[in-house]
Amino acid sequence: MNNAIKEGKGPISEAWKLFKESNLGKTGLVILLFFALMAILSFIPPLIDPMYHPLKGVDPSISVSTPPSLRHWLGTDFMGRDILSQLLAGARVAFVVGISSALMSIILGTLLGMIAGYWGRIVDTLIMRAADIIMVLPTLLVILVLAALFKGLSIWSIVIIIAIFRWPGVSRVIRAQTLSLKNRPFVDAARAVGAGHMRILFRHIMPNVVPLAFLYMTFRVTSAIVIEAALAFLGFGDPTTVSWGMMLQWVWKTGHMFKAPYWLLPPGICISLITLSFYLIGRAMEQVLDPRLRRDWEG
Amino acid sequence: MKRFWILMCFFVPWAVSTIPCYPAETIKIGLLQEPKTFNIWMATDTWSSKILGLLYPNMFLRDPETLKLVPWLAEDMPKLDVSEKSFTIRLKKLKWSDGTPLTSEDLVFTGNTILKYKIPHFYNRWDLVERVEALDERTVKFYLKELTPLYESRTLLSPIVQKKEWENVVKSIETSPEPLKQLLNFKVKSPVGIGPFVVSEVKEGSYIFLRPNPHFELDVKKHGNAPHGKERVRIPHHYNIIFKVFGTTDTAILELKKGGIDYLWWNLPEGYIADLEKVNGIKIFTSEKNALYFLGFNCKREPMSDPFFRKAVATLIDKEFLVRRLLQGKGVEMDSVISPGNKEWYCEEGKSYGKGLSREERRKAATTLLKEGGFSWKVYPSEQGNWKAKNLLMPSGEEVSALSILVPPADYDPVRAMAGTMIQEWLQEVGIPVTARPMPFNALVEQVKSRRDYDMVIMGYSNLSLDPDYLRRFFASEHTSYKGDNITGYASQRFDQLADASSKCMDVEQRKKIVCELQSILREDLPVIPLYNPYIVEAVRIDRFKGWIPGLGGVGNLWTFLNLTPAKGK
Amino acid sequence: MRIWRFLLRRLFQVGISFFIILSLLFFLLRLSPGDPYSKYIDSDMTTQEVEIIKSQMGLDRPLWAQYLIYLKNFIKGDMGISFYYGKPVGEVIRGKVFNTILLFTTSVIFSALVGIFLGKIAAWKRGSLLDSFLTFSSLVTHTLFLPWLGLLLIWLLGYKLELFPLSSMYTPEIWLDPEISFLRKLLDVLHHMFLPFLTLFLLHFGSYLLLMRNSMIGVLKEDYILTAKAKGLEDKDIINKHAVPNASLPVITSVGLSLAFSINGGALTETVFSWPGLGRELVVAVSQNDYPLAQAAFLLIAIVVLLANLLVDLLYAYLDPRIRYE
Repeated sequence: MNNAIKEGKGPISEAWKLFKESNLGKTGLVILLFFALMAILSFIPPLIDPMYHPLKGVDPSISVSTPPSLRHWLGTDFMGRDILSQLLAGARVAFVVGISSALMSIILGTLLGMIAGYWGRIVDTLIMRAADIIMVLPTLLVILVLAALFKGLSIWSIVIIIAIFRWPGVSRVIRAQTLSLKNRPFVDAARAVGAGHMRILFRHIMPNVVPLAFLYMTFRVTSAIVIEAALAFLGFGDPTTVSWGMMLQWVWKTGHMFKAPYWLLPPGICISLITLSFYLIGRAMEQVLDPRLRRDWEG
Repeated sequence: MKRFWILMCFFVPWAVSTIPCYPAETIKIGLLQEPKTFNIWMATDTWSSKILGLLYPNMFLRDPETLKLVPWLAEDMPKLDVSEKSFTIRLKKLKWSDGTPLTSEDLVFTGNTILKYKIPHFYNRWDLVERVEALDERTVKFYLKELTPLYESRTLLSPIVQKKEWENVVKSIETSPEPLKQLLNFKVKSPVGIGPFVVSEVKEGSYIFLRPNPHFELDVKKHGNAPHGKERVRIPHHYNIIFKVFGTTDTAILELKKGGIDYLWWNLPEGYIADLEKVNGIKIFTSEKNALYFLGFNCKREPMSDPFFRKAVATLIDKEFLVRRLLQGKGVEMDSVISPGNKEWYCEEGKSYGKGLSREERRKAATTLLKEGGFSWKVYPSEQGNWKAKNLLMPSGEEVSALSILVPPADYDPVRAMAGTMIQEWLQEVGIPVTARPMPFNALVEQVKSRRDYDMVIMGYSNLSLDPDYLRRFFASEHTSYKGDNITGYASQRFDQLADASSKCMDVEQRKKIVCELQSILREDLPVIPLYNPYIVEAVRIDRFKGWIPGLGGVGNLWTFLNLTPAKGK
Repeated sequence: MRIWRFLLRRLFQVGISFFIILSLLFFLLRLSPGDPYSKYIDSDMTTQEVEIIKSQMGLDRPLWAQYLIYLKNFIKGDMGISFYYGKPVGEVIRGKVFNTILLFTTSVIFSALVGIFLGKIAAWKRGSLLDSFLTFSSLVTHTLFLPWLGLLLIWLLGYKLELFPLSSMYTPEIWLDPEISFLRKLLDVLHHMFLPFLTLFLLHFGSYLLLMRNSMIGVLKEDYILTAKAKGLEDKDIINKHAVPNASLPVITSVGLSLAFSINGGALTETVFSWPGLGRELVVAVSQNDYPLAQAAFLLIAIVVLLANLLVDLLYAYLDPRIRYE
């Protein structure tokens, strides 16, 4: 890990060079960009014609699920809504959910990890014990139980809850990193100059743990997307958002599982592909940050 | 050698006679959820009720065609004594499934237990009874608190439990600090019932096996020609029932197609009807329900409190479109809160809004109504073509804030969800700022019923009683309180008076007149806009069993079960 | 001696963790909006009758009193009565636990074994086409969306090819027939189990494969392997007798660590296949707002996970002396 910790600029372009060498990473990035494009394009269909609105738009002449046609490139769902626009909207939801949830959990995890590592002792023990308990629990089931209590969750509640249950993984690593940084010369120097704890933490330690945090973010995004999709699939998602998981729930529950492959396949493929892409990127980034892995991965 | 054969002559018949004579034929019925219990007090969910209905038929049943009450456990219609405020019932000579006779003691015990512990869902059928008294072995007198015709649709449509089975339980809960909870949670493995079937074997989450009740009797002579005239009610042809539990409708319908089940006891999703119609040996039955799906207004909030607003909304809603497109024609429009199928009580009188009008005409009519009510717009609706009305203003001049129509999620009920979307579009055309908001069902019920925190909502009652007393429950002002059924907050003195009179009027013809006026009032005041009453569409394998009798609520009724015979052979 | 102290300390931690989870659940449940007893209340009832029902369900006492009763009951083993079933929660769960264990353990064990086996091959044949294929398919199958995979398998193998039943665990006709042998009945269950098992297997073997591969590559560089080679031992022996046992260790421990992930998957699989297990029961309980049942199912899973992690830690401690002195 030491290679990645350099003071000053440089690491990012160096990292990018290494990343580009990885085939896996490139593939992942390409797929991701494709989905990003989808997400951006999702704003267009409703502008073309209100019937293309993913949630509210119905084709006035169609009220059952129909296969792909010129008007509806992926066909319609059971209410006569356009599947392609739902798919595009789902991409948007995936990014929003994935990234915000990951960001929140990374921020939370980094802060708590730094605090735990820096202060040590009681604070450290408390935070790490909490992390232990939370990390061990199956997130999906926890959210299910919470969904039972609160009679349904909005998309933002889901995002926040996922974030709350995902910080432990990050914090552990950040804590370890902080521990090793705590007693480095540059920190001592800062202390000698009279820098307060806050300053040391945020000006000196944080910049060096951020690349690591960033690495973990990719995995967090994946799990956030999958958990939201699983929740929506089980019927506990936010009914006002159209996500891929929600689409799968609709095709399943309205009895079109066997009859509408054009409706069943796209959302599942999308979820799997976006998961794959983040996974590949994550692996490639691991290589960048840990030279030991570089040789072992065919890249 | 000879001795051996003599012994065999005795042994074999004995051995054979001890083999239980189980019927060879078994009908396989699909369920979509596991029934949660066999404890009749607890079994108020749809699936448990379906099964327990076969074990505990009510004292009186409804004829599937005429919908009139038919004495089932009772010998005849009850004898009413107006002066005493009582009615008397004489029970038939029947036996419970354990062989013991049905007596008045059982009925008195049932009534007393319900009254004493106020058992939910049963209590509202017995709360008009003051007390019950056994006059002799099979005669029971019911004393009413006040003279009301409601006992017919409530108390008579009530089951009886066996005193022998339950008396120990009831005795043990007398001293408990939580008697009702204990009663409801009492585990019943195989209930002693008086219906045509008994529970034989259960594999949790998978299947339930019923065998014919050996002690079930049916007076074929008396009921041989009921119902329908053409079909005859026979003694159950000695068939077993396997109830298979499926996780999803998909898999259940697939099984139906393949012949793994003979009947799916649920409404078919639209997408499958065409498929199933093509299969040889499957018949599709369309039956009526006594249901009501409506748009409810929170009459305590503006602008819903304004009758002109409500009438304008009613004008904009094209019910025929909803039935044709959302229900694919499988249902009827509702103008009154009582369904046209409820011939005894339905009354045609009363206002309709926008019937037969085109979209253009509806918009014009609605705009006129709103103007009459003193509403105005910042951007007026133009009369030709471009209906881009915006910013509706109240008579006071304030702008109408964004309104929402609460609907259940699309996967819970696609029809209601879609209706919400359509209605939203129609209202927006005239500048009413409304959006349909899907909400998880439990949360929706909570918000509307308990907290009364909503603007408009699309709700439904899928199984209304035929007796119109529910009008009183839903619209009389006394029920606007906590947990009452008057979710709209509607209050009208005239309505209250009439509703009260209706619940006390013993003369049927006079009561009909009162109920007719109640319906007119509701059609004028519009606390809710009735939308539609869907049919129930079911599929059965008539190549396996025949004798299906459609009734209110579908083919899965007691008459069918008594009439079914295997299709092959005589 | 040290190991006992370690064990005790960790057990104590598990106990505390569990207690915290238990209490958190209780307070979250009681403080959440809505009333669970609404299923029991007729809208015709007066407020007084509503109060009677509330007291029946024990929901009218002050919060702290309810909490103490809750703890007391829990220690006694009484997890409450399911609102939905009306039966003691323990009874409902008891019926389903075995089904979950059956499905879950077979799929985990099988995917771990296959993962180890294929990972070993991939590592040995590093850089070859086979290796790339195995690695690639592991990545792809590992990232598939589980419910979707399940639905796809049902569609393909159950519906189109009609090779397997579409759902549930038994065929009633077979189980009700007294003449059918037990073996046949067992086969019926296995027949039903195949698709959910396959779904879980496909999802999990990939990660084990990749882990094993990495681990093997690392081990193969170790000195003692070179020594073995120098001694002239056959390749096959080197791999199987020396490399694999050491390389499998991280895989086996990761089974415990990824338990949470596998359990999520279990719940989803059971729902999609209507497999009557604990995970599905939890989902049903949640949709019915039956929180005694949901809570109990969740707690059961939590304690299993906590103990499994403890076991994993123990294993680590046993194998790696450095950690013991933490």
